[in-house]
Amino acid sequence: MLAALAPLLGAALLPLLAPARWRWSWAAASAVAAFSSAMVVGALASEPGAGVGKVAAWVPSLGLNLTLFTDGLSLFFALLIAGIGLLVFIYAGAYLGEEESGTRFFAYMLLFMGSMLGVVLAANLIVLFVFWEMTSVSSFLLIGFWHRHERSRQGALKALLVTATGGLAMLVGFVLVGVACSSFEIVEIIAARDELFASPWALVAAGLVMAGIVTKSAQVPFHLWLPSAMEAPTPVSAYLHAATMVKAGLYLTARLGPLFATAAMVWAGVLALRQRDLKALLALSTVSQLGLILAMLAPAHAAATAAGLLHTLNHAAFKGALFLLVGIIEHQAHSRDIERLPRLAASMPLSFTLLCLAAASMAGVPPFGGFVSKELFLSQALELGPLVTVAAVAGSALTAGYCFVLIRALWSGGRDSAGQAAPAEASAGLLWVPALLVGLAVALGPLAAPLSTGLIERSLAGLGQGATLPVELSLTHAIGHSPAALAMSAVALAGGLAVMVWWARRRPLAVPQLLSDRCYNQASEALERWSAATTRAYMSGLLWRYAAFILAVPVLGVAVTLVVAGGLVWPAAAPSAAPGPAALAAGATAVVAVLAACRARTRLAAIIALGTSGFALALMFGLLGAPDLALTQILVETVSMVLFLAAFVFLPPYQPQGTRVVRPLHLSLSLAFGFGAAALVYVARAARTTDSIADYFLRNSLTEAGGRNVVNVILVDFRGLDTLGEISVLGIAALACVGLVRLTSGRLSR
Amino acid sequence: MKVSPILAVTARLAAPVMVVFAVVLYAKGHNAAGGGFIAGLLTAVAVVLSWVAGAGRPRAPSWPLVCIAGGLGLSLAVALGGAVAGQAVFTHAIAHLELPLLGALELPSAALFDLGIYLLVVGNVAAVLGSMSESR
Repeated sequence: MLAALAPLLGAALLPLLAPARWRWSWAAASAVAAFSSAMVVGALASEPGAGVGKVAAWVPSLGLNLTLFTDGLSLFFALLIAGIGLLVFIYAGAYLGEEESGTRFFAYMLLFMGSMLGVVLAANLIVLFVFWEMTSVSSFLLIGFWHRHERSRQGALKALLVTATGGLAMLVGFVLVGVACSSFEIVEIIAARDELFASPWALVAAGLVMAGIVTKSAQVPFHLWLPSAMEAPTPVSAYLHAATMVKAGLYLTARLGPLFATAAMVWAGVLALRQRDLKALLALSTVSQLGLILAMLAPAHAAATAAGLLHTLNHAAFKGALFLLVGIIEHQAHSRDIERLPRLAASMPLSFTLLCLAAASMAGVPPFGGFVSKELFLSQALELGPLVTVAAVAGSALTAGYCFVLIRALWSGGRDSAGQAAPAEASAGLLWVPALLVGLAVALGPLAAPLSTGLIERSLAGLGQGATLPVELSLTHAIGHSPAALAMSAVALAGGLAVMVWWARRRPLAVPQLLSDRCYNQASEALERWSAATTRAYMSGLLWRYAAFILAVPVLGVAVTLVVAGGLVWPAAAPSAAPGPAALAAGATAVVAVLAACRARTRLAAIIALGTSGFALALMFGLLGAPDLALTQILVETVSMVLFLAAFVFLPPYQPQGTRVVRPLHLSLSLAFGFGAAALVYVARAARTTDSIADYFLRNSLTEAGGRNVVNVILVDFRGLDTLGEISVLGIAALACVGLVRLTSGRLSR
Repeated sequence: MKVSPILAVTARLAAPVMVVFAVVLYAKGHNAAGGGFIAGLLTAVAVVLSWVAGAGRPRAPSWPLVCIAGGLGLSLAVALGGAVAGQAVFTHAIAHLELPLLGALELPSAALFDLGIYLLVVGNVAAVLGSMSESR
C-alpha cells in the first residue's frame, strides 16, 4: 500500500517544491520511485504465496473496502511499473531540460505511477476502477504535457475520450458483476463465478468489462489513441508503452481471466488477425505485441499464461529500451523520420548497437529474450488450432519484418537524408539507462530460467493456476521442445527478411490516416457541430429568456409530477402557530418592495427595490426563529448587490416595458412560480409518511457531534458529504466564472 | 472612478470590524448562530468593500484561487482523515484542549471542515467579483 501511496503523496507535495530548484524535484521524484521499487522488491522477497490484505474500510455500508492483493501476479506487475518507472525518471533527468519539464512533469509522472500501482494492487473492483480512471486522467496530463502544441492537445484529448469511454463501460460492467456475485472483492467474485455465469447479465457484463480493457490496452479498433500519444515527451512514451498504462488491460485480463476466458479468446483471435501494421513503427508494434500477450493470457491456461508473462517482462525490457533509444536519436539528430535520418551506424555506434540488440530481441532472433517467449507462444498457438497458428506465424513474421526495417534504415540512412549532418553520439548519462534495459532483454534469453522462473511461478500461484511451472522457461527448452514451433520461428524470421527486402524496394507512402482515426475525427466534428447548433438555438443572449427557462422548468416539472402522482392533498389542519404581527409586517414590506421593483423605471431603482424585499425577508426569517437563515439571507443580499454593481456596465440599456405579448407571459410565469412554491411547501406537510428526522438531529447534535447549533452540525457533520459536494461545485463554478470573464475581456481588449 | 471620501473612510473603519465579527461568527458557529459559510460571506463582503473604497487593489490577485484550492483541500483532508484513522470516511473526532489563558476548549475536527468552507466561500466571492470588476 505504501508503495502506491508514496508516489501519490509525492505528486501532491512536489508542486510545493516548485519555487525551489528543478534538480531537487527530479531527485525527490526519483527517490520516491526508488522507495516504491524497494517496497515491491521487499514484498516479493518476504511474503510467500498469495494474500489479500485489508487496509481500511472506505464505505463499509456499500461493501467498498480498500483491499490489496499482495500475491505474485500483482507484485510482478508492480515490479515492472516501479522498476521501469525508476529508470524512466533517471533518464528523464538527463533527457529533458528544465524549461522542457519542470516540477509539473515529475508531479504528473508520480501521479501516473501511483495510479498504476493502485490498479495492479487493488483487490476491490470499485477501488480498482478509481485508480484505473486516475491513470486515464494522469496520462491525459502527460500526453498533453507540451500543451502549446496543437497536436499534443489533440492526442491527449483523444486518449482521454477513448479510454474514459471504455472506463465508463467498464464501471457498468463492474457493477453488474458485483451485483450478480453480491461482492466487489475480486477473490469472492472468482469464487462465486458460477452465480455470475448463471445470471442473465453475464454476457453484457463481460462485454462491458472487455470494452474497458481493449480501449485501455489499445486493441484494434481502439488503438487510435496510442500513435497520437506519441506527441508526449519521449520518457512519457517509453513509460506508457513499455511498462504501464497499456499493461493495465493485460493485468486485468490475467486477473479476471477465468471469468472472460471464452469471450476474450474469440476477441483476441479476431484482433490478432487484424492488428499487424507497419505504420508509426514502435507505437503500432506495441499494439501488435499486446495482442500477442492478450492471446496468451486469455485462455487462462497455465503454460500459455507463463509464456505471456515472460513476454510481458521481455516487452517491458526491449520496448522500454527502444523508446529511450529513439528518444536519444531524436535528441541528437533532431528528427525521428525514418526517411530523413542520416546513417547512424558510424556516427552513433553505441546507440545503434543497443538498438539492434533490442530490435533483435523483439524480432525473436535467438538467443535473445524475445525468442524464448515467442517460441513458447508459437508452441501454444499450435495447440489452439490452425487459425491461431497461421495468425501467430504471420504476426511474428511482420514483427520481425519491422524490426529488420528499422535496423536497415538506420544502418544505411534514409532516402531523404542527403545533406543531413552526422549527429554526435549521446552522452553516457543518457545511454546507461537504455543499456541496462538492453542488457536485461539480452540476458532474458540464455538466463531466462534463473531470472524469471521464481517470479512467474508466484504469479501463477496468485492466479490459482498451479504452484509449479508447467513449462520450462529456458533457451534450451525453447529450442529443443518442439521442432514444429522451431520451424515456425524460422519461417517467421525468413518472412521478416522478405518484408524488409520488399520494404527497401518500394517507396513508402505518406503515412495514411488510420481508419478508426478518420471515424474519430468525423464523430468529434459532428458532435461539435451539433453542440454549436443546439447552443445557438437556446443561448439567445436575452436575460429574460434565460430567466423564463429557469422558472418554467420547475413550474412544469412540479405541476406535472403533482398531478400525475396525485400528490396534491391539502393538509387537514391549518398550521398550529401563526406568525406574529412583526413578521407579517416584514412580509408585507417584502411584497410592496417587489411590486415597486415591477414598476421601477430605472435599473438602479429596481435593484434597490429588490434588495429591500430581500432584507425584509431576512427580517422575517429572524423573527420566525431562524437566525442562521436570516444572517445568510442578509449577506447573500449584500453580495448580490455588489455583484449587480460590478455587472452594471455589461448590461444593455434598461427596458422595463417589454412588449405587449411578453409582459403578461412573464407575469403569469412569475405568479405560477411563486404560488406554486408556496403551495408545494404547504402541501408537503400533509405528504409526510414517516417521522421527521428533525428529532434525531435535535437529540444527537450535542452528544454525537459536540455542537449546540443544529443547523451548523447538520452542515459540517451529519450531512458533511453533501456539503463537500456543494463546496466542490462552488469552487468549480468560481473557477469557470473567472476563466470566462478573463477570456471575454481578453477578446474585447484585443 | 472617483470614490466618495465618506465611503472610503467608512470602509476603512468597517472592514476590520467586519472581519473580526466574521471570525467570531465562525468560532461560535458550532454552538450558536453562525458558521463557516456565513463568516466566509461576511469576510468576502469586507474584502470587496475595501476594494471598492480603496481603489488600490492589485491587478488580478491570485489569492482567491489559492483560497478556493486550500479550502477544498482542507475539507477533503478532514473528511478522509476518518478513513486514515481506521474509521469510516467523515467520522469526526473531538479534541479537548486545556489552553493557558482561555481555559478548556473543545476542538472538533468538524471545525476544521468548517474552516475549509470558510476559505472556499471567501475565495469564491472574491474571485468572481474581483474578476468581474477587473474586466471593466
